[in-house]
Amino acid sequence: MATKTASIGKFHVISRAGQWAVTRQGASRASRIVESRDGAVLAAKQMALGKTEIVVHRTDGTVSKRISVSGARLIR
Amino acid sequence: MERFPRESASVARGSSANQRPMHPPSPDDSVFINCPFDPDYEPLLRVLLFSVIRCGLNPRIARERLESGEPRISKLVELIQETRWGIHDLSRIKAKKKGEFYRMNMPFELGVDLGAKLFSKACANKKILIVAQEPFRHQIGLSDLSNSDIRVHKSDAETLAKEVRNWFRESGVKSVPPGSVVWADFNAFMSDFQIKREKEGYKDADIRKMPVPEFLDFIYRWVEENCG
Repeated sequence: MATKTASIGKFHVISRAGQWAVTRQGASRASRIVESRDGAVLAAKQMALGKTEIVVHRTDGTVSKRISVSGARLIR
Repeated sequence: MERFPRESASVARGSSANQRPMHPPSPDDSVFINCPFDPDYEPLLRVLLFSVIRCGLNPRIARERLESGEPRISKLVELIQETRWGIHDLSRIKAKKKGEFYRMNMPFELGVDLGAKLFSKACANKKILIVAQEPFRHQIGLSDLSNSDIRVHKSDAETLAKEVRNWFRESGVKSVPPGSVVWADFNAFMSDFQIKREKEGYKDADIRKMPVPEFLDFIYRWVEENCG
């Protein structure tokens, strides 16, 4: 049980060792690691293909905001 | 006399197989959590409980049930007897402002747990992790712990998740996921937790003040659905 990862899904922008990582839910490795949270959100938008959601987290893991995207185009 | 049947964790799980164990699971799979219960600690408590479950073990905590007629010391002794693992956070042993008392519960419960390990044959194999917000500060008020290996989390949730995970691995639990996976899964869990609760009509205050048993049920269910 403990070695499997969560099912693949939306993007998450999370803190990681003083930097910010873009992860896909369920992926075992971060897709990108950048210096700032804004930079990570931008990177996630660039990686998004099709309709998906970017969840931006605070450093304690709670959700700061959710951004719906369709490809590179921002919906909300 | 045993108060509950001794069952393995998988057998002791609730009938829907995705909830907190109905009976206390095997002590080998159980972790006594001794930590502050103040609002400032809530973010760390959340990640602590999640990390234990994500690593395949079961947290046992005084707040897992409310029984006003039960003396707190009885509950404490029961938790210590029924767990092979213990995590103790000494982050609150210093008063924050003038006139405030520092908190004795955490050092006291650590002492009881250490005493059980040292003097009880049944608890001799107990593994104990001590964590603190800052290095060396605990030694000022608790010099008996000088030279003890204490992990520091600096009130950072990611650091605490990885310290707990690493401790399980160093202590012989082989099937733990990497620390970065535990942390990423915790973030994903918090996202799903918030969405589901909001859909069910919960407000921010309800979520923040959610009883520990209810929160534990949600973690078990999420891990079962997403990681198993």
